[in-house]
Parts: sequence; structure tokens; C-alpha cells
Amino acid sequence: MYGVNEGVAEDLRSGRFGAGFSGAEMLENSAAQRADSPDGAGTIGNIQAANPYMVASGVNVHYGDNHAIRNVSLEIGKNEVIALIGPSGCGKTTFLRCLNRMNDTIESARVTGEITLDGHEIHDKSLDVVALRARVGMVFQKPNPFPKSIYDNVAYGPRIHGLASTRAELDEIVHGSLQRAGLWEEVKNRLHEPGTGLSGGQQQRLCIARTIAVSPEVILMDEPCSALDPIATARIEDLIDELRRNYAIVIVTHSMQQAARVSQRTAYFHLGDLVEVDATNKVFSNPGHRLTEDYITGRFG
Amino acid sequence: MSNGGQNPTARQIMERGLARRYRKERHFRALGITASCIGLIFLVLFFASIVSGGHSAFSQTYIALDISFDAQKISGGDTSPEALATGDYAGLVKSSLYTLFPDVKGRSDKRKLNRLISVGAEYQLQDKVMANPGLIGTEAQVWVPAAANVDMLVKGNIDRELDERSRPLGDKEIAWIDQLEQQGLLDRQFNTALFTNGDSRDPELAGIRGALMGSFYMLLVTIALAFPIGVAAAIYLEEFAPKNRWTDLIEVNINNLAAVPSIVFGLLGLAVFINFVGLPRSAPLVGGLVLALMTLPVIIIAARASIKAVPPSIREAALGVGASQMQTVFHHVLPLALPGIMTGTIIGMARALGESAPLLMIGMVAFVVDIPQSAMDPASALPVQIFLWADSPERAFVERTSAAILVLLGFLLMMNLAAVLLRRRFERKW
Ligand SMILES: Nc1ncnc2c1ncn2[C@@H]1O[C@H](COP(=O)(O)OP(=O)(O)OP(=O)(O)O)[C@@H](O)[C@H]1O
Ligand SMILES: [Mg+2]
Repeated sequence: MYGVNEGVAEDLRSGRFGAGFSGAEMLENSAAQRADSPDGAGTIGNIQAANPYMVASGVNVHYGDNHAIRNVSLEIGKNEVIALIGPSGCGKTTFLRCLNRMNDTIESARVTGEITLDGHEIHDKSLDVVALRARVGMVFQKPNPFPKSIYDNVAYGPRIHGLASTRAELDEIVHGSLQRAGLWEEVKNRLHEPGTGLSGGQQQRLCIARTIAVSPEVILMDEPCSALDPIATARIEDLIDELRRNYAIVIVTHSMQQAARVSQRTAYFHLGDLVEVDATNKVFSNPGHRLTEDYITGRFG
Repeated sequence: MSNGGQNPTARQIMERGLARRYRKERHFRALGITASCIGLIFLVLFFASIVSGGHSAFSQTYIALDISFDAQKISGGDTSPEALATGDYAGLVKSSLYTLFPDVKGRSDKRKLNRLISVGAEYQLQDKVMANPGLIGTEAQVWVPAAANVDMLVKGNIDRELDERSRPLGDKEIAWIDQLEQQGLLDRQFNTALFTNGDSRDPELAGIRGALMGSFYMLLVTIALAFPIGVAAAIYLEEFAPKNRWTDLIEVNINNLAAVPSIVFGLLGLAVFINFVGLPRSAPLVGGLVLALMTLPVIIIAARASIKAVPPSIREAALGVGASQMQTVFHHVLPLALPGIMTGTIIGMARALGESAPLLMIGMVAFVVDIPQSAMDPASALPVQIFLWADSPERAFVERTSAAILVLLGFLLMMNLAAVLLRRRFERKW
């Protein structure tokens, strides 16, 4: 059965399927066998978003011989938050990094399949990777502030993209971003101290501020609250909710409660497979797959 | 298993092993301390021998002479600058000496007397007059350098007890010197000539200025070439080059190049820069080119290591907000790697400064009196100067050799200190 899906992926790569191909068709193809096959590449539920902005179809990622993402198709919608959940090492980060081509930087990584942003293939020459990363911002799993001042951390993106023409405008962007990331009150008197001198949770919010400072269209957040206390977490969740009005958001989280709170759709990954995607309340109240159910009820993972 | 009395418990086994582990640690520490002590002893011995041999070269014996600047004697009465430039100043020194020692008669004794004064004295007087023609017709006391043998006697390097025939100064000369000393006309002063003069056949006039300038121009050429090229190569190889068989090959070659004996670089310089390109022999430019080739792999390796040490998360952060590869490198990676790169560069430069073998190949071992004014003038370099002086038979050159070594060590120490300070100052801060 796996071989069959490989074939599908092959067809996708060679462009035998038209643009109209979606995971839903694939679903129908093999829905019968899939029910209890964790290594199958099919996905149950509904991969389609109401208002798709980024569309991944037939994405495979290999790290050398390690097949880390197996034939994943998923739509990411505007004005909604999609949560990626799954046990450690299942490929959430890897999938996220496909969306802004961050895997390009990893020597051994090989990404195949189609990913479009607003209808344009992101691997195309016509879409510059630098521009792509400005449009698809990312908050990394481990906080990684630049060893520069707090101000410069946030101002870096706007500076290189020329988003502010005056110092006052830049100040405004920095202020607004820190405010929205819930960090302003804590750092307003030490903007010119190094960002690396902040606590882990503060660094994480600094990285969030840095990402939203360039006003990306899609925001990828890799466990943005893993080092935050409940208050800061609530602040970030509010921010995510607010950002949703204009942007498409993908969030990786290990907290079921958080996924349930902030997301409209939830995708469950397992060993590189996208096992199930559906509306969040559907996934949590009535999971379609046994693996999903085991995971969200805490039986493993 | 309930025979707990028989079988030792885990804790007992562990405690027995503990003593052994501590013993091993003690032995290892003793070994380490011994090794450090041996190293330290050799270092101290080395410094002690060089300092004890070389410190006396920093002073030099001078003799005060009452000189009457008589135009008649210098140039037959002509006071034009041309005439003064070619005048007879040795005569001034001589007549001053004869008035000081009126009893000295006879040609051979007079010659002996004259030889107490360095030939540098007449040049010194000439320079004085040329700089200030108003001196003509006046009298003044001038401190002129004593000859090397006098200097050696004053410094106690000539044994007075020895038989007259087997020492370079006879009894008469020693008596004159003692007389000068009693009259307070003989004094040891700081040896400025050592730092302001070029090389000379006369030890009391020989200085390291020429060699220092040669080394300076050479290092200037070296750093101007090796630093930018080395850093650019390192950046390209680390950040931009695809990882394939070609870049592997280049990497292996660079590592091999760092291990090539320096004399081979000298041969290369001779064949390429002098014989093929036609650059002048003995020029610091060629020396700098050769040393740049030699230092390049060191800088590339150091720069690559410190670029590699910049955590990938910093690169990802920059790329993640949409910085281009180039911006990522120049805004983030390079500033963080720079202290390491500079440290590597300074250490490479220190190695280049101390290098003599390749310079022998390209003719920088020549006897150069004039102080080089540019990188194209013939010059020697500090280590080569040491090599040359070490070869000289005169006793006075022995102490100058040690003094030159001290100066070279001083520069090397300063460079290494700068490297350490740089490392301290920019301690990794993520
Ligand atoms: N840079 C890499 N090189 C090689 N293999 C990698 C690399 N990054 C991830 N992998 C492999 O890919 C698989 C998926 O890893 P990924 O980081 O995407 O997991 P994850 O779902 O984000 O896990 P976690 O919840 O622990 O962050 C793992 O088997 C991992 O070992
Ligand atoms: Mg992850």
C-alpha cells in the first residue's frame, strides 16, 4: 500500500496530476485500508482549509536515508490557526520548515512535492527564497535571539527590508512588535541591552516580536510557548488570536489544551505521516484514527 | 539471594574502587605537574640565558671628547655645504685625542689611541656640523661611541689578567681607558644606535632598525594579502561552497599546505616572484608575498573553525526574517567569528615574523646597511639579522644577537598577548 502512495507522489512530482488534485481524492482512494495502518501515507479527515493560502501536496522530506515526512498534503488557510500535534520526532518541525524553505539550509535534507503560497509554487525560480521567508515568518523551537541589543533584534528585519524610512517609524515598529508579543513592559527600560541577557521565556517572546516585526503573511510557530509561564502563554495565545484576523498561522504544540484553545484545525502527525486533519473540536471530541485518539487521550506520546 | 553477609554490597564494591580511582587521579596530577614544571624550567633557562647574554647590548660605552670645530682642519677653510659634506672629521677626533693624551708619541701608539674611538665618531661629527653649520669655529664636548673592544673591556668581557698577546687590547690601551674613566670622560649610556642604525661591520654601530623596517614592510604586505584573501576563502568555503568532492579536495589541500615546510615556500617565491615575475631580490615585497602564501592556510583554517563555531541557530534566525545569505554572513556570522579570525591571523603573523628559512631563499639574507624606505628596497628581516649576527666572530656581536632575539621575542609576546586579549574581550556570549 505504501508503494502505491509512492507512485502517487511520483506522479505529483512529474506533474501528471493537474492543479485540481487534492488530498481528498487520495483519501477516497485508500480510505478503506487506512483505518489501522500507521505507516500509510494517507490522511483521514479533511485537509482542505476554508480559505486556503498555502497548499502543500505530496510533500516528502528525506534526511539522507531517513524518510522524515511521507507524502503529506495539507492546506493552510487564511484567518485561521492550524495546530500541528504529534509525538516527539514525528516531523512537525520538519514539515514547518518546508513551508519557508528552511530545509534548504540542511545539507542532507531533500524536499519533494508541491507547496504553493497564494497560488505560486514556492520552489519556483520566480519566487525568491528571501522574499518567501519575509512573507512566511518563523518562530523557532529554541529561542535564538541575535547576540545584539533587544532593539536591534526586533529592528533587524524591518531594516533589511526597508520597512521604515525614519528612525521614528522604526521605533514605532519595534515598540508595536514588543507590545504585541507581551514583552514591552519588561524591556522598555533596557532596549539597548543584549537580547541574549533575557530569560528563556523573554527570549522566546523577543523572537516572536522579531518575527511579527516584518508583518509576514503566514506565521509558523514552533512550540512558541514551551518556555513560558501561564500568564505569558495566555498573552501569546491572545496574540495568535489577534494575528489570525490578518494572517495564516501554523503552530506546533505539545499541549493539547493549547491546541484546543487557539486552533481552528488540528493536524496529527505520526512518524512522518499526517494521520489526521480536521476541525479542532472534531479531532479532540471524535478522533477518526486510533493513533490520534491514543495520543490525545495520553495513552502514548 | 539472601546471603548478604557473604556478597559485598554495591556500596562496598564502589568504596573499594574509590580508593583506586583517587590514587589514579593523584598520579595523573603529579604527572601533569611534573610536565608543566619541566616546560617551565626550560622556558626560564632559555630566557635567563638570552637576557643575561643580551641585556648588556642595550648600553654602549661613550667617550667624551673636546672637539674644536676648525674649518681649516675640516675642509681647508671652505664652509660651503659641499665642502663640509666631504670634509675630514677623523682629523678632528684625532687632534682632540692627542691633546687629551699629550704623552702619546710615535705612529703605532697614535694608531692604537685612535682605534679606541669608533669610526662612527667622524660620521657623528659630520652629521652634527651638517645639521648646524654654526658650530664651525666653536668648541664643544661631544660624547662619541667607543670602539667595540673598549666597550667589551668596560662591560668586563675582556679578561685583564690574560696575557697581553692573547687579548685584543694591549696594556697601554687599557691604561688609557682607565685614565679616561678616572677623568670621568668614559660612560655607559643607553645604546640608541642599536635602534636607529642599520647593519654595520662595526659592532658598536650595528643596529636593528633596518631589519625591523624590513620585517615591518614584509608583514604589512603579508597581512594586506593574507587576511582578506584568507577570510574571503574561509567564508566562501564555509557558507557558500557546495559540499562536494571538489571542495573536499580543496579542504585537504589547504590542510596540507599548512604543513608544508616554510623553506619550500621560499623556493616557490624564488621561482615565481623573482625569476618569473621579475620582482627585485631581497625586497620585503617578495618576502611578504612568500609569507602571505605561508600564512594563508593558517588564516583559512582558523577562520573556518571560528565561522563553523557560530551556532546555526543564529544563521536560521537571520534567514528566517528574510535576510539573504550574504546579509546573514556579513551581519551576523562574521562579527561573531571575527575575534577567532583575528586571533588566528595574529598567530599566523607571529609565525611569519619569526620565519627566516624562506627569506634565505629569496635573498633577504644580504648585508644591508641602508634602512629600507619602501617594500621595494633591499632589506633583511629581524630573524635573518639574528642569523647574520650569530655568524659573526666578534664578541660584541654575540650580545647584539641576544639583544635582537630579545626584541623579536618582545614583538612575538606582544602579538600573542593581543591574541589572548582579543579572545578575552570578545568571549562568546550566546
Ligand atoms: N537536521 C536534521 N538532520 C537529520 N535528521 C533530522 C534533522 N532534523 C530532524 N531530523 C529527523 O527528522 C525526524 C523528524 O524530526 P522533527 O524535528 O521534525 O520532529 P518534531 O516533530 O519537530 O519533534 P519535537 O516535537 O521533538 O520537536 C526525526 O527523526 C529527526 O531525527
Ligand atoms: Mg520540533
